[in-house]
Amino acid sequence: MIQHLIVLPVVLPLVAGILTLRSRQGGTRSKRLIGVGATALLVMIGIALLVQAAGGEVSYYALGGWQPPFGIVLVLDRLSALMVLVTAVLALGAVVFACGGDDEKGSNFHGLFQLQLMGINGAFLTGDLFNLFVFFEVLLLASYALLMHGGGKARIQAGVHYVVLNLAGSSLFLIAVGVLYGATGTLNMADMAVRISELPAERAGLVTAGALMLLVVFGLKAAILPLYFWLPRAYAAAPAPVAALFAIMTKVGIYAILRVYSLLFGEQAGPLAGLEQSWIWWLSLATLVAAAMGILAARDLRLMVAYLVLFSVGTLLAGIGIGSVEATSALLYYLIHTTLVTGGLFLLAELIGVQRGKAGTRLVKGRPLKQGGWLAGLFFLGAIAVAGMPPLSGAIGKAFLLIAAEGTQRLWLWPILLGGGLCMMIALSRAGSTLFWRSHGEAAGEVLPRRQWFGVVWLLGASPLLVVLAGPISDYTHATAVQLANPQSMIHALLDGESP
Amino acid sequence: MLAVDLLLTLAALATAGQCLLLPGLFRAVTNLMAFGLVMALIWVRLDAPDVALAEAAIGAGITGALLLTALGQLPASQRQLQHVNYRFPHLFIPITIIVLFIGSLVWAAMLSLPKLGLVKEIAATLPYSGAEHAVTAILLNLRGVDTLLEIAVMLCAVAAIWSLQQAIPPPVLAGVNYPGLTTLARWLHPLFLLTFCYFLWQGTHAPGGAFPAGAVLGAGGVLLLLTSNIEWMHQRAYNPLLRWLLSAGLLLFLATALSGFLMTGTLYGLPPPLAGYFIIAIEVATALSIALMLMTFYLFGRPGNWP
Repeated sequence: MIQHLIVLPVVLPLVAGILTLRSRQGGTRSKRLIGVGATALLVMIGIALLVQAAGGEVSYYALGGWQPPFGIVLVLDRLSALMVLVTAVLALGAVVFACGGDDEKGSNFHGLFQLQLMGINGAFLTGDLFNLFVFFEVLLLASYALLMHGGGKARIQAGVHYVVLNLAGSSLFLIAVGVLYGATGTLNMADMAVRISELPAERAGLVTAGALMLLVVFGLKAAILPLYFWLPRAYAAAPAPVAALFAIMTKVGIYAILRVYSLLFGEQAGPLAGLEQSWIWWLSLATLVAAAMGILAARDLRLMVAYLVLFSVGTLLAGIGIGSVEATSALLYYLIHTTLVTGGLFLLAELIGVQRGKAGTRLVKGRPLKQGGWLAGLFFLGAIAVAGMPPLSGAIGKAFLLIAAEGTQRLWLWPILLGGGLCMMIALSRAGSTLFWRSHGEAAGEVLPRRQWFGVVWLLGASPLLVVLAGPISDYTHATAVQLANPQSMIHALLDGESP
Repeated sequence: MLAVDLLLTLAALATAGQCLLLPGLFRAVTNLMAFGLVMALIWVRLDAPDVALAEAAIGAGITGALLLTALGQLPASQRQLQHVNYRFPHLFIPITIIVLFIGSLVWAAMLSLPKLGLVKEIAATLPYSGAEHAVTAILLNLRGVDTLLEIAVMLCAVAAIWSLQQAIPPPVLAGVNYPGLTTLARWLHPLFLLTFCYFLWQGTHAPGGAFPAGAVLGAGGVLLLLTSNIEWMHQRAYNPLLRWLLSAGLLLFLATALSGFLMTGTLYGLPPPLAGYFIIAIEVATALSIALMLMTFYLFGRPGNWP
């Protein structure tokens, strides 16, 4: 039975999604039960998968019993298990928050949410390049719908932008997959890695073109510098629980870069090895600078959080650009932290906006908050965590990354990352003092529902937890990085001794 | 034949370019439809008649009609929005770069196209897959999960449209009565049905199958929707039925995957003796679902508000 666990993160949300999509409005209670229940179950499955993968063994599930290379496989290693668990934890916070009322503002929230989870989980688990494309499509289409949940002009405008850009990205993805299939004759990533290592020289150009096109696609998903302009507006316009879930979407791009380039263009790829490294390194630094400026310039809390997501993307990509095992380990730790904390901040921003009434999340003078004390406390916690101040998890993640940089890389990374941290501190303290202190009039509005509080506390509470458990978690991320640096183990497990 | 190929290439580039460059949304849409037709012809030249038909039905027919109807919803003042003064180098440079880039890629791909795909391995598995044609075997058995997920994608698209607004009742040629048009659409429909059945049947041994079949039937259905109103799709009483039918393809796929799990112990593992029956069942259900999904796009929102 244990080997079937791998398909559950895909099948469970699919079944839950269909169950909730089928019925018309009404039956909110049953939909919520299915949505929250399925997501909670996903957390448990995620933990079980993590335990299974922690041993270091790569296991796979051949769908339909067709063995690789021509069947589709779902692969479980340390990285995919970690990503699935992080997604599930984030999604649980978001879905419980949504049950506080956001899900009723449009139709089909829970069904689409589950299908989105299926797409994300599938993208993390698949070992097949074309299947990765299909899962990208699933998660994109579900995200279009979720982004426009509840309607409104700003959302639809941001949504159309997002749709068009991502459709262009999808077609480029398809072309890239076609080129790589044409050059290597296979779609299974492990098999492709073997064939790339044996590639005749005249086809190297074709593979490079395909690989760099893939980088553009993943860069668009991850929101790397010239391709990030869709992100701030889309994230700021999305409904809060959706924006929180979107915190993992940029990480899908990061994950895809990590997976594809470590597996296909690792050391065994010969002259093609590490062809993405220098691109990513410089672009990530530029992304960090742009994000820091965005954070300082944002006049709306949601927009600021969106730029914080962008800053975290830059940090993670810098980790990929460094490329060492230590850097990968550091970036994975930082990834857990930043996904959960920025997700929590999106939810918190919504609560603050609701209590401030007309002023919303705009950073202007507004009415005092009814539950200001609690909200301010949580904001303080989230701000410290996200800005990377000790003693919370952001500081640890950043410190790992700063140490991992070597030689001249330090000259670039240290000032930019630390300066960015300073910008975040300035912007967040300014935002906090405006939101909580600069107020006039009477506090009004309603007491916030408990479910929404739960969502925020669940996600922001991850930060202290990450500090307490920093030892075992960084051991795990280090083991993950070692596993990623040795793609042979995955190739061996999948192709059963075919590898050199 | 080289002349025909060159002509088709030029036509594709020309229609695509006009679609981007000409002012006025209406011209852009008509050029897009022409582009779809040219693409269909190109597919025919590439010996892929099934793709050609799907392209003609979706690329030229359905997308075009969808865009035209959307254009009809725009206020007249916004239809001519594209009056930006394009200066020559502004567009010329990026377009040339893109064309050169794609052209060189295709060139490189053609020059070094290896023959090391998985053709041989797949031919060896055909007897166990329940289908006689490699494409059908891949789509519905070997990589059946991909197809299942694509159906899920289409369902997501329907849900996305439904979450935007209430359905817009079709214009039914508001006020203007063209009796011939309605009748023609109805008389043509059996032809669409016949083509649908032919493609489904053909799919087991030659190019064809659920996707082209669904596209053709969907195109016919859209024609009906545009010329005469299909009332039941809007009625509240039929809404649950509509939802069931829309998800039928995905549900049957899922049921197949799970029954495969029960019979062979792996998800979607179809036992070879029964695989053929499963494939036919899925083909019929997905084709119908696809056709219906394409039609529901034309409701422009969530139906079910009519008593």
